[in-house]
Amino acid sequence: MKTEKKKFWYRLPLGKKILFEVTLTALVLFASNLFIYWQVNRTIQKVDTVYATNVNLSELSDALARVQEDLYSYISVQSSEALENYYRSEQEYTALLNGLNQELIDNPVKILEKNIRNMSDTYLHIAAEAVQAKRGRNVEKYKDNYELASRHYKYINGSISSLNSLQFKSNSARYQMLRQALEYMEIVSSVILICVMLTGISILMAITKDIVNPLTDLAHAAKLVGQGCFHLKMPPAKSDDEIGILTRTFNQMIASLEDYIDRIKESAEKEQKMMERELLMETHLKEAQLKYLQSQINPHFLFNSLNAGAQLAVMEDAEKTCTFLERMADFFRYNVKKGMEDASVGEEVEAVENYIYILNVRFDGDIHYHADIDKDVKQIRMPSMILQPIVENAVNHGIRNIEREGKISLAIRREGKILRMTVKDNGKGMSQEMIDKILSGEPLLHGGRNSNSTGIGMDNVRNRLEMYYDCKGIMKITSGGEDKGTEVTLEIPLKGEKENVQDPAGR
Amino acid sequence: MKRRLDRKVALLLAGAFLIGFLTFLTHSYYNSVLDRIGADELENIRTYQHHFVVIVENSDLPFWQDVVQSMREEAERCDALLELWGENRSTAMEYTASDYMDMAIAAKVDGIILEYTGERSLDRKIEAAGAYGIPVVTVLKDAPSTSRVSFVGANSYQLGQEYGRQILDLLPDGNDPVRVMALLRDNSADGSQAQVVSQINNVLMTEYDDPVRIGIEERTVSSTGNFEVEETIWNIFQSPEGPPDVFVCMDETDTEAVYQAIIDFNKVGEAQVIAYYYSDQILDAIENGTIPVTMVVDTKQMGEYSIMALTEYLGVGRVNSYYSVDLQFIDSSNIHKFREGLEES
Repeated sequence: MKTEKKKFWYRLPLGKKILFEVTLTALVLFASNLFIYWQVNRTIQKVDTVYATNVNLSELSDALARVQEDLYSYISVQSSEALENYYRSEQEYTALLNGLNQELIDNPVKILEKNIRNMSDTYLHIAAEAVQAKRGRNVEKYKDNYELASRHYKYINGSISSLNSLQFKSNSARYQMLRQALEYMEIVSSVILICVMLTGISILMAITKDIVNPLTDLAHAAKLVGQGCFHLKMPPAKSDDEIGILTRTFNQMIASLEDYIDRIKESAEKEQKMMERELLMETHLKEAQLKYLQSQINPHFLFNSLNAGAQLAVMEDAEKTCTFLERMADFFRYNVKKGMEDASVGEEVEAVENYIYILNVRFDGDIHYHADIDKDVKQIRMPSMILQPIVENAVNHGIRNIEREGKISLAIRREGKILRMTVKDNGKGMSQEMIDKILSGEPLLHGGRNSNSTGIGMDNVRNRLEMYYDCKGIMKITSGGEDKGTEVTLEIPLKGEKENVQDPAGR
Repeated sequence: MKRRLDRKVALLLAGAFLIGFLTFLTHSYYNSVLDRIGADELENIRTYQHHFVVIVENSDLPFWQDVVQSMREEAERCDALLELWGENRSTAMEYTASDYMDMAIAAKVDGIILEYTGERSLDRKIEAAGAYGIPVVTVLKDAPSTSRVSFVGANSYQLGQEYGRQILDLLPDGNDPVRVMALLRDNSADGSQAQVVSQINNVLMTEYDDPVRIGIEERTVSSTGNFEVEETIWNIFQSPEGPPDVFVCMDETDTEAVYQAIIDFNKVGEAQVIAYYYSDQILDAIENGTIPVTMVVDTKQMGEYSIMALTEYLGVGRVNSYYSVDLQFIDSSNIHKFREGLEES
């Protein structure tokens, strides 16, 4: 039964719960009121009966008075009507007398009643004799009897009066008691009503707490969840009403959130991993490229071989061959050596000269080279492998395969805070498009490696310059247009004690 | 949650219990009140066999109160209901003893105890009662010529003699004439009080050498009217010959009036009074000497015998015509013993 009741209470929706409780309170209040009214009514009825005795005595007194009056009127007038009246009132009075006590009971009221009854008997007897005497016209007798009757009438009235007062006193006492009882009743009924009210209100408060507490808990939990604590769980609600539904749904929500966030975390992690791998791959690729590159040339072997060749040339008295081989060895030595560190301007210029010499030997003096270098700039440090690739670029893309004489000039001038290095050629020139491409860093794809290239492209040069000097826009390329030649300018900032940025092309 | 539910249920139960308890309390309180009001009527459901009425002149007097108290006790023992008529002079409906006799006869009581006052009309009433078969017992004062069935009181003969002797004790030395005044309440020639006076005379005659010296006067104090007594006494004191040397009082009211007058008129020591019955005032006066002696009858006996007389008459149809009641004179010599006796009872 208890579980049945519990289930019933839990399944009740909120609105019905409150309604039920309020209705119950109202009913109890109503019942209390009814009860109080009932008590009050009973009391008032008692009050009525309390004074009933006095009312009865008044009736008695009146009836007696009527008897006396009718006796008098008959005695004085002697009409049959008066006689009838007398008999009637005598009967009425006798009837009332029968309600009076006749026993010898030790109670002042009862004693008085007995006396009144007996005295009335005597009186009526005397009155009857008076009437008889009157009818018999016995003047003296009826006069005497009437006197006697009147006297007795006075006595009886006196007794009725006393009885009335006595009753009145005791009735007043009872009335006082009733009044007092009514007063107590007021107090008690107020107390009862207050109790009912308090009980009803406290139960209502308890129910309200049942409603509000879960809601505040829910709000608190929601705040915590918002701060990231997903392990929270609301205690499961037992009731099936709106609060219960809300609690259960909230729990589901937290679980779903947790799930969802875990999934997002997972996918984010995956993405991260993928990106890392890509990066790693790129790095490896580059590493591989480099290794590939490096593995292709073992520089030490190369220029040692060249030096050996130079020696042979000297032994065979081939001076030009010796110079050529020596210059090649120098060039490659520089390539290898300077892969790791920066170089001075002089060294770079020397590298360029070596390169040009080599090319000229190959192409039979096609390339005319002119250098114009300020005197005191040769000690200035700069990243290695900068000028040579640029010159190479000018040769490969500028003056190759042109019919006229190819001219390349290198100018290095100190201009205030800048060291301006210019490589000019009178070759094919570049379209603005091409210039933009190079400067933007888009890798130039030439479909495989150029056989004349040392492998270091313009954008590599640009990148290294930018990294070394930590600023962009060092390299500038201008061209007059097709067949108008190209000019590559490097504006190198002279900052004095600039720290060396590790050349990214080397290791 | 279970805790919360239990609290609600507990609250509900507590509230319901409290309300129920209070309601029950109110209900039972109410019922008791209503019962109490209803039960007034039927408290004493004891019925009696006889209905007696006592008619005295002034029931306020301590003397009559003691007598009636004793009567009630005896009546209780004899299964008789006793009514006292003649209460409260101040609030009475001005009924005379005669009226009460009429009422008693009309009310068909079983017996009447009457303090006879000497009025002629009372004689007729006693006769009327007898005619209706209602026995009348006179008490304290007798109406011997009527058909009363019995008299309960002090023997007037004996009383007179005792009074006489007391007067002799109070006589001042020397040969100056002495006036003795007896205050009487009734003027019936054969009334008990008249007998008392004649016996006083007798004693004075026979037991004193110089009877001529003593002059006995009688003065009647009217028993009708409320304030006659004091007027009469004052007149006595203000008369040219002044108050007598000895007052003989046979009534409490007379005693008080005389005593007060003696003090007012500054006659302490000059006028002596033989008092009647006792009160705190009289006893104190005896102790300090302003009143020499008082006459006390045994009120207990008086009450008992009067009821016994009636019940005996109703029972066997005959009864003694006289019940003698003890009397004693209290003066300064035996007042302490008397007082002790009072405290014991």
